Amino acid sequence: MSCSLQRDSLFGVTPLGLENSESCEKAQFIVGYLDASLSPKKLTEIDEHLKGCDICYGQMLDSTKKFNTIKRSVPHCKLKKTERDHFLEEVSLLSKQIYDKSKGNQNLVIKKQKIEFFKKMMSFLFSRELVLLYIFLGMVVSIEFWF
Amino acid sequence: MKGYCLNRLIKGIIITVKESDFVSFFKKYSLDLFSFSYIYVPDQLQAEQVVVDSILAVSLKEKELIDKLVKIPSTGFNDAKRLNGKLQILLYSKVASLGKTRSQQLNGSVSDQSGMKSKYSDFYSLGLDRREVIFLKDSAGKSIEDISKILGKSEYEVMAILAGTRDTLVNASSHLQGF
Repeated sequence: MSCSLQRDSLFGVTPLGLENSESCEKAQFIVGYLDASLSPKKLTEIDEHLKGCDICYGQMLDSTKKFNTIKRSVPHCKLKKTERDHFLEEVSLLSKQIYDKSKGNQNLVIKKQKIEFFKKMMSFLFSRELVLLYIFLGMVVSIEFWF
Repeated sequence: MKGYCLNRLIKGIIITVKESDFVSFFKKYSLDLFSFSYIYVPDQLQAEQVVVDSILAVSLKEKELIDKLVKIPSTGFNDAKRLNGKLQILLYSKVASLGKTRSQQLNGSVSDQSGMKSKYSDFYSLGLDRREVIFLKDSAGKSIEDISKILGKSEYEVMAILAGTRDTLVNASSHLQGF
């Protein structure tokens, strides 16, 4: 996937406010590096690059600070233990109902398939050709029996 | 011929997933779904109800998918993982649509009993479309691809919203802290 936004900083600002002449071409990947949205190959490449590039290392520190600020700003609401247990109990009851219903549906499908198979077998066993064969065999057996 | 018969026999075997495994799947994700629904309706009972409604709605709409998860053909174990992912995205997607509707119905009449709204005032001052993107990326840790599927937006749109929202939050925070 290629997108100009992906290549630029996702914060939409010039990295660290550095002059363009001072910036490194790899600096555009720092946000992706912290965001874990780079490919494993690129991740290793930036990892190696960071050891020797002060500009990128500085930007990484700055971006990490910004990421921490964002993470502190975004709520991740957690329930208290009793409320959580109550909620999970409600969810497990609901999912049990879904499971039973689905299993019931499956059993119904299997029953229908068995009935269909039985019908097919019966129609095959009592097909005209087979009935004629039964009569013929019956006649042969009875002739053998009497004579 | 022997191989063919064996293959047919294996294909015919269907393994039923244990009830406890099926239930634990929903239990595992319900707390994350609750946190997600809380960004739309910052009220505990309302947020819980949105999650329960979403699970119910998805189970009714996606009967085939649920049936496939309950009874997995022995040859389809790789499919099970994919189906789990698909179900997860469907659940998030349903929470998003129901959460938006519930938020509009309540129209800000929800009381801030937990104090979350005042604690995270910068976040709750954002629009719903920006809140959902930043939550899914920076709190739930979803990929851009998954977020675009959940919210029904293009990946570029998601990235643009994400960049703008991150900027807004950083600026708001630095303005308050004076750095």
